[in-house]
Amino acid sequence: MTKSLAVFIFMLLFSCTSKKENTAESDAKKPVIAVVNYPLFYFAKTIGGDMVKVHFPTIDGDPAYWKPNAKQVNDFQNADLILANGAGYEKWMEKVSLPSSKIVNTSIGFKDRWIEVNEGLAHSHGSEGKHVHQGTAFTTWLDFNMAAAQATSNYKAISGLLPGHSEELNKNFEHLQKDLGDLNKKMKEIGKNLEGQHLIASHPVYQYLEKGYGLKLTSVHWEPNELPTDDMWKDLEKTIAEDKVGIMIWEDEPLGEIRSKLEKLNVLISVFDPCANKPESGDFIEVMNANIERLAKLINLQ
Amino acid sequence: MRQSFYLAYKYITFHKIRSIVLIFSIGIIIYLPNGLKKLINESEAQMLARAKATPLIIGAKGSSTDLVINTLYFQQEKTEGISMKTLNDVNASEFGYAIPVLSMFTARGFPIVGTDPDYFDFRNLSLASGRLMSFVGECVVGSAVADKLNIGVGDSLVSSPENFFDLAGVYPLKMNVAGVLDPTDSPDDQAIFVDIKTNWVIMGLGHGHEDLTNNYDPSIVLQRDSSTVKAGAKLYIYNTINGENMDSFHFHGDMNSYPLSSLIFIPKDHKSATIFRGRFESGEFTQQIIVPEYVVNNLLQSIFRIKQIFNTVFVLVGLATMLILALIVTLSIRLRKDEIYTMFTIGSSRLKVFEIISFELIILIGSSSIFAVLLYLLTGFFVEDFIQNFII
Repeated sequence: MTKSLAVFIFMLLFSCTSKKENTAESDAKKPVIAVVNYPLFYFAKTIGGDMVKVHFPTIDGDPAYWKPNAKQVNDFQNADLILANGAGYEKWMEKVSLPSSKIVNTSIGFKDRWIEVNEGLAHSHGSEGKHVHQGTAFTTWLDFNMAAAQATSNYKAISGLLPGHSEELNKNFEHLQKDLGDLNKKMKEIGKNLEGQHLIASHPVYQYLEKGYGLKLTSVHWEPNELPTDDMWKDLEKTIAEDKVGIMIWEDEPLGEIRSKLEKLNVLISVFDPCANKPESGDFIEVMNANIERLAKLINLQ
Repeated sequence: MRQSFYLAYKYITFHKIRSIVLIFSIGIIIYLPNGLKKLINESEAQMLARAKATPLIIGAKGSSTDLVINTLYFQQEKTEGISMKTLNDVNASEFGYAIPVLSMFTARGFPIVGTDPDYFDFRNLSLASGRLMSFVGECVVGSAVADKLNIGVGDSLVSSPENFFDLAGVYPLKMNVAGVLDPTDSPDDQAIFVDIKTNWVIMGLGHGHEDLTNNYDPSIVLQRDSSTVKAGAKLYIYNTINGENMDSFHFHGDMNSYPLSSLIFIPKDHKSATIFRGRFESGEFTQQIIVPEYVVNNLLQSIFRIKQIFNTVFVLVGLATMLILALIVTLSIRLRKDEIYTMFTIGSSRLKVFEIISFELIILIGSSSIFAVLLYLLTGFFVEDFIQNFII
């Protein structure tokens, strides 16, 4: 009895170990896709499923301002595919060495729709003459049409990596396109309801949301966890009075003090999380649906 | 027989200088045609192997030989460049992938080659120490560079300015050595590899300087209004890139227009290569696409036509040497008339005298052959130098 129990335990242990080894082996064979932000992680994971390994480094803060170390750059160098957001999103890529053949700029297909922004003063030095560091707004995925185009770009690149899995990839991609299409429809509805109304954004990250859904947005530079100065409040009050603003969009829930002061000014707060980094709970579609629902609720309240 | 060999050996060692001169001259005559043949054959094989390992090269229209030599051997011939846009267009074609090459500058006599991490995989280059370059401003050096300059991981190298009298020109960049490559007996051993963007920084297309928006020093900021800041020559441009000033580095203008020397193109398969080459023939791409193997073959055929002339010269020189050797032997027999007469007097036969002189010749020719073999073996170490100095 004791002997057969020992054999059983041994076999159980052996099967566990070999299962682990098999998983590690099949993981090692999977193509590695490195991505620069959470929306691209979600698209790649949804399309590629278990057939790919998607590498999105743990980043504290906004991935657009990430500063990788040598090891993290090496992880990107070793990937089979690097999915970039484009539109000037991943500035860190200008300063690192990556294989150009593996980089896919997912927003290059709609480059003509990138929104230009000035990133500082024009300056001149040496013999180069005057120049200004021009940039582009980069939260492209907040226009769900553009997000769908980026997902298409992901799909094409992943299909190139997995030529024998077109049926499964196609199914996953269609599912993702449907979800993004639904978001687009809902957001269009909100755009219609907000027609003519002026909104304030706590940060200049909603340019594509504004343009894609016909919103009228004025952006300020307010942090949800920092109390604004008196001058900032004065400027905001002026904008509220001039443009008759009733809604302010925030990237995250602002401090209670800010909320109560805005409510006194008859400004409703709607958190619209751009979801550039991994959300604490839910996924990209769930976060966007929650954003839209919050905004819809405020419109009904008005 | 042993006695004859002993007498021959003693004669040769007694006339040391004459014997050494004969051994060297005969040895060189034996070596030269064989050594040159080895050099030529090995150079040919090495050059063809590198060319065959490089499927296609894309560059600006002009001398195809210069383009190939620049791309394969980093010779920095003054060829027209292409733009970064070509790289993007070529990669977008989906017939394969391209690796950029930009070789314009040197550091302590070695070429700085701007490329990207694909190059190391493509050439199967492995690291002896350190890692590949991760950031702009880092470099990976070939094994010969590391040996000759006695540098390793953690050391630095400064790029050479193009022109010492051009004070407003390209500033030298201090590059940090991130890795050293294993030896490969190829031009990669003699190169300093950097990311393509590091090369653009050396060219002055990108740079880092202190933030001007918060600088109010009148000797630096000459003019300021709400939208423009104008800085003077006193503005310090960083000459090294490190963690502290990395953020201040930026590139100006459209990076799509930035220059490249050429592209190494690796097609998916033979069919893709053929279709892709057709795109250049049809004018869809305005650059030229080259099969390096053809160009190197043509180059070698032209250069090695001289091999036949050399062979003829060596046959004639060899013949002349043999005649001189025969003359020396005849004259020495005449000079040794008294010595030979003594040998006859003490009872030596004609055969014995012939035997002794024959052994002398055997020892001389044998020693010359050993000398020639040594030279021949040494030749193998100079193939790379021969290619660099006499072929490309």
